[in-house]
Amino acid sequence: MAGYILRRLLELIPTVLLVLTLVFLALRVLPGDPAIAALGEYATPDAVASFRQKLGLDQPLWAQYLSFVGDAVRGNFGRSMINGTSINALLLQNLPYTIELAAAATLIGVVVGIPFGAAAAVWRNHAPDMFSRVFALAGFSIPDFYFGVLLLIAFSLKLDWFPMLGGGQGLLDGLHHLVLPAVTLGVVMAAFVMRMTRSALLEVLRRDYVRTARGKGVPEQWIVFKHALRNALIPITTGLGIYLLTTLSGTITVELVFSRPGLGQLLIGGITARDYTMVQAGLVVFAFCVVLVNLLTDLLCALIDPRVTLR
Amino acid sequence: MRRDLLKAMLGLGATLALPRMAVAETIARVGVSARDLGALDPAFGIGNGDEFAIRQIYNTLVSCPDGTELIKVDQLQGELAETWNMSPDARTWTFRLRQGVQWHKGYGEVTSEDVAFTLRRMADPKVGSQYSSNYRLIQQIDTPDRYTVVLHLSAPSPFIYATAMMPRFGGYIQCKKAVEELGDKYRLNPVGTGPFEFVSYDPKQRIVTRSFEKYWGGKPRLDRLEVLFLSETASRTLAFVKGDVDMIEGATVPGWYPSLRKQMPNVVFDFGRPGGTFTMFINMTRKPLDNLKVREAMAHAVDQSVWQGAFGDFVEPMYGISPQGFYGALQKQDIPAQDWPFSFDPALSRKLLAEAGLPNGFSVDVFISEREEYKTNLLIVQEQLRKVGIQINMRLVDHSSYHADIRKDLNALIIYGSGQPPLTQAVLNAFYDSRAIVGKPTHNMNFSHFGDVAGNVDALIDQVNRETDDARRIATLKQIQFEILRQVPVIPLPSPAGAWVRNPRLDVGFPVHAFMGTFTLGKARLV
Repeated sequence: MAGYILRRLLELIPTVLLVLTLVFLALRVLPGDPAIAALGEYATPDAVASFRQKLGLDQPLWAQYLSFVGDAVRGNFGRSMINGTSINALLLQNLPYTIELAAAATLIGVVVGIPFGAAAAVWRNHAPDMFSRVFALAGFSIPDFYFGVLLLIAFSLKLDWFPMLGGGQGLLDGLHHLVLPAVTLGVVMAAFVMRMTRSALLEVLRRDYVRTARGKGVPEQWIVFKHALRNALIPITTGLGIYLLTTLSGTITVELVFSRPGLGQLLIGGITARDYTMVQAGLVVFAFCVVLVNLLTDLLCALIDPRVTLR
Repeated sequence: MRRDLLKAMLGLGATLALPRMAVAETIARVGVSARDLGALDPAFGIGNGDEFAIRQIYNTLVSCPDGTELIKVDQLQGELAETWNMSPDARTWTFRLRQGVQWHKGYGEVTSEDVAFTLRRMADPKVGSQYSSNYRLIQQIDTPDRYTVVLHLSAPSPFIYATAMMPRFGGYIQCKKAVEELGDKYRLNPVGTGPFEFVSYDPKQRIVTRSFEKYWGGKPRLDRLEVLFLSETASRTLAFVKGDVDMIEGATVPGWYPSLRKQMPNVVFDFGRPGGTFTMFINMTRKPLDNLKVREAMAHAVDQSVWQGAFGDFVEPMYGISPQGFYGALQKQDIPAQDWPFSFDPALSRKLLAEAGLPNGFSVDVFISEREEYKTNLLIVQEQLRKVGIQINMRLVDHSSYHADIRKDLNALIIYGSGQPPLTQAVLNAFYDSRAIVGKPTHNMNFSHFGDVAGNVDALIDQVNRETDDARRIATLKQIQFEILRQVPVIPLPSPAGAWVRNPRLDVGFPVHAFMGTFTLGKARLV
């Protein structure tokens, strides 16, 4: 297991290098000039030239690339081109907000999605299944930003149960601020997990060994929870891992709607302002998260099913 | 969908709003439409978020009277300057400083050295301020004593203060010692003399300031002032409706103002006027736009009242090249009753197109910034021109690319919104002087190529820039504008106000008729 993890971590190196290169090139190909974004529409040619020189944007592309990769490998993402803030400090400050949001949404997705999905499979075409269908349809149909605003109107503006802006200070206040954003993302995830669980469990419940167990008189609850659900958890976990990546992207919209700190805020702000250093760092961290989530998914699958071998 | 959502949101919020707008007694929170701070160094601050915060922290030498945009020299109010004098030839300006004004954070007293340092720093190309060109006329700065500054200009300039010594365009006086001591850190650690002293900056979230006890204008009544970055219109509006913020920047979304006004009549709408110059320049080097008849046809097809239907009080008609409230602007009564190329007359428009050999109209490819105010303006123009057979093929690009590409002369029709000092000659210098044509080494923002194509008013612009007599200056400004407008290098669009919405509990201390970044909240209180 340790060797496998080490090997997978080493595989991160070429992946991250590829990401660094693609991100670097993509930003340079994009139209727009960070100098004008930073200095404004009235910037004189002198001011623009001075800005470009100061930030090394007047250097050849290969020199900029080497400098960027060299710094990134050392974990130094530099300073924001727009206001000079340390990117590392910004990442350290913002990343926990995004991670806790994604984790909370996943928790909601799992806690709501698996039991209701299992119930939908066991009582197929009955009330729990109908509920699961309606819930999933609603979850998939409502866009994040719209649902977020509806939650804000209902639970913050009207009922005043939750705060409207920011990420909160300290544990309790932080959790208080986390609820609505997490529900916004978690409901969609729960819808996905619900449908995933239903279909995986239905598939397993049709297998021969389940029929045999029933024939031998094993209680239905035992069959569902001990045998079927455990086997169904493999595709559910894989799907969850993939969907977690979508959730990470979804945090961007949710952070904007709730004016919540996080990686999404950094990225969108960086893209709008053509803040190359900010966007580069943000995308590298996102890519790193993607690779890490994939690794964790594989490890989790091995933990659930000993027949899965890690090679 | 987003507009519907906003309207629905306002409807839901309105029933709950006003009675619940309670905030901490002496903390005012302001929501700006910005994702983050650019800089709190006046040399680099851009956009409404930066400008608002910088205005609270710093002072200029002079400014328009609080809440107004009155710009003539005898109308100004002194900030760090107690008196100011212009020589008869408008080449020498003398400012006498207020004594005893203290810098924040214990940096001592403001002196003429600080003023001289600021003006030199702003002009220095190595510093790279976007406002450096505003200081190009300052040839020499003398500081004969601790409180006197004398500026010697390379050319007469009766309005030098408007671009170089007033709020919004970098004219804030900076502390020499602090700038030199803090170096690059000064960008986010401002030291000013204004009513509010910088406390902290939380990236993407807020700027926190506190009242400055030694403020020369008297200690502010607000203990703290926080500027929150709320770029999403929906979130900003909801936060305001709930009472989490006391004042927000308005949204340039059709229907937003009328809906809010209708449903929350007690809320204060601060429309800063004169507004910005929003115009559509016609690139006269492109075919068929090089034909005067075609340009006239376009002008006759555009009806400014359509904007008022969509935006209400937020916009007002612009009759010439600058908003009505600008010094030297054309007013409604100046416009000839007949034979005016901008009178709305679709039938005449079609006739002119036929005379230009385009009886079936024509199509033109145009790219436009994705920003709401740009996109919306072009959409309204597009719909009106379509009715006379002119098809605009519109392509959206991001705002930064838009500004980069229009400066490369790549667009046929250029919608441009700019904040200028409220002076018509500032608009002339930027947009109609042939030396300002895009692509030239001395380029600025002359996107229409006026001056090289279809007329030239450079000599008249130079004359008006030097003119010290008010009546002669106004007369020349009008003459120039008529000469320009007869060639239709531009289609004026209604001028949008600098619009903010305020909880009535926040009393600014005077009526607001000016842009929010032009005055401080030093006299504000929560009632």
